[in-house]
Amino acid sequence: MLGLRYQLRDLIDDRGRVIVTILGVVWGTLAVTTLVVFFEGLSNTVLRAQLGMGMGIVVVRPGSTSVVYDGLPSGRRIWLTAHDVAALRNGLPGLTEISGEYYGSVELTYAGRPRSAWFSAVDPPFDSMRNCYPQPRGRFINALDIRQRRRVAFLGDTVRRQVFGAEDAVGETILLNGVPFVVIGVMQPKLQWSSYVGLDTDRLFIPSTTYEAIWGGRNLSALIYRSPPAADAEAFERDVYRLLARRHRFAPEDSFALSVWNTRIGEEITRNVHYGVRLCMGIIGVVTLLVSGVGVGNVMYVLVKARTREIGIKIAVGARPGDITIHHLIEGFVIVVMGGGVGLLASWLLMVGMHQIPLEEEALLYFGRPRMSLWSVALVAVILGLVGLFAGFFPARRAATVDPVEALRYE
Amino acid sequence: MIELLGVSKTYAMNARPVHALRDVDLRIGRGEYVAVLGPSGSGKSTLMHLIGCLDTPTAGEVRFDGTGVSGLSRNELAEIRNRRIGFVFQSFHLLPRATALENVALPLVFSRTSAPARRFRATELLQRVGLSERLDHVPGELSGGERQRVAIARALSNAPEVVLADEPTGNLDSAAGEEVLMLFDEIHTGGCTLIVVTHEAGVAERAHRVIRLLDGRSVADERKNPRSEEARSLAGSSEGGGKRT
Repeated sequence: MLGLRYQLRDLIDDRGRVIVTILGVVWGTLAVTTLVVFFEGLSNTVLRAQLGMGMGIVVVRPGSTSVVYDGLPSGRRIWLTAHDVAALRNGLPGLTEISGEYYGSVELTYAGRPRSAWFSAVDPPFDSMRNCYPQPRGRFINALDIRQRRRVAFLGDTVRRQVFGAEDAVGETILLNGVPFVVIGVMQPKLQWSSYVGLDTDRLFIPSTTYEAIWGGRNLSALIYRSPPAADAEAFERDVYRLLARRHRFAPEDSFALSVWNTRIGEEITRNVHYGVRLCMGIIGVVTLLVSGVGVGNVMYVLVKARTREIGIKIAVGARPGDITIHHLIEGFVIVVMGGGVGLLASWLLMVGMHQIPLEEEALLYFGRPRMSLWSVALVAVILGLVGLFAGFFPARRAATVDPVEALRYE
Repeated sequence: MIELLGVSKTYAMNARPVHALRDVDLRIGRGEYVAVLGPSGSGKSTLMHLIGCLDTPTAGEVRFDGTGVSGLSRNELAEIRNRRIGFVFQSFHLLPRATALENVALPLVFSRTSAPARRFRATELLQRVGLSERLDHVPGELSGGERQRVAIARALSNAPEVVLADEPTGNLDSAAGEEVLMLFDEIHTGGCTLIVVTHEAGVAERAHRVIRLLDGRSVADERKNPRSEEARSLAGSSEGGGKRT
């Protein structure tokens, strides 16, 4: 073509209209990006909170039989023990993420000040199943702690704050019911909406074997596992129940013998809601940008009309219909790309600005610290590109069908 | 080279047909210098648009080198306008925001000539029409005569076989008009077929053949002073076209 320089000169010459149009696209882009980004942040936060207790985990707790089985009466209490954990780990190949859990409350003393605290005595795989990840310079309970029954404790973030305030907790010694324990790590803050015995941040964790050795624990409060990624989760869960039924002599179809909470089922709903919200945002975004596109299209029509004579001249000197179409397509595209670029930049600056505002932690977590994900930028860019082509296409087609004889007479 | 066989063109104006051309037969040979002379409304411009492949006839046929243009696609017509025909208009029809250089290079853009080659060719042509000092001026900064010379340079950029000029001196003073006509003489001497549409007898006098139009009909076809053997032979080859008085 005549080159971008000439095309830019064309646009500069009509700068009044072009600037207003670009501003329209800027505003549309800013609105859509902000909307998408904030809702994505909020939606992600909700998803994270809902999955905060752990993803795809199954919590098995004691129950009572509801049917007579193998000569044993109904209403019999079924307790789980560490032996069940070992039997499942050995009996079901691929099951590595499994942990017993004893929970209860304990008197925690630090610097001579006693207070009541919730605890869970667990095995090492507990951390990955329950997203109990340590902050820097700390660690979760490991296999050696279990083997040597070490007196070590991993603190929930809230517990640490309540007991230690601003001080560093790792390496400090605390007393649990008068028994000294060394703090080996502190949990990273996490959002958690579901629980069966309080939030993980509000408790401390010790090795299950230490609990058994010191306090004589025998019956587990719960047993937690996650099906191996390669396994069919539903079938695997049935196998687990069947194996436990065999060990404790209850009917495998007796669903009351043990209380089973499968988080996988709720997650599906949560995820679908999450995708639903995203889809909704996407549709709103597309519609908003299309409206901007209609504005651009209108201006392009006006520009084509104003340039009828120039189009006639170009046709007279040998421009093909395709040349004329491409020229005007590029123009519509340039307007949309400029507006979109500035809009995205403005959105980014808004995000950066948002991050500078010191918000209270809770509010911040639920608002989800908006972040421009590649996904949202790509979505907006793709829609803008399509809108640009759409906005330029009809005016460009009109331009290409101009009758040169009429156009040359046009004043 | 150019043949019009029984060509008519009718426009609908306010739902009433206007017969711009009626049953015109014409043959123009390669290298001729033809003036189409007639008063306003005689169908001169329509004739030029038909010859220039900007328009198609309502009846009859326009042939370019033996090929009927009515059957050609819009792209094929664009190709002919781009490479084989150069236009010079009364009101110059330059792109207002483009420099003289860019205006002259415009047809080369559509013939997919590379940017350096476009620049070289356009500079050469502007030098030839005496505007080497005005390369980067936009039309608004040029006089009428200069604008028309830019338009002539543009018409020549793809070295066309035919140059069509529609009232080329209509908007110029006599001195500038004379310069333009001298350029036309030069173009013709270079072997180009030149068709000038005019209502000025003075302009038509420069041509070797004058076709008179009146009310859409060709009423006269005069040949005079063929300056060379070539022109004489061409005059012979175009016999039978138009009516003689």
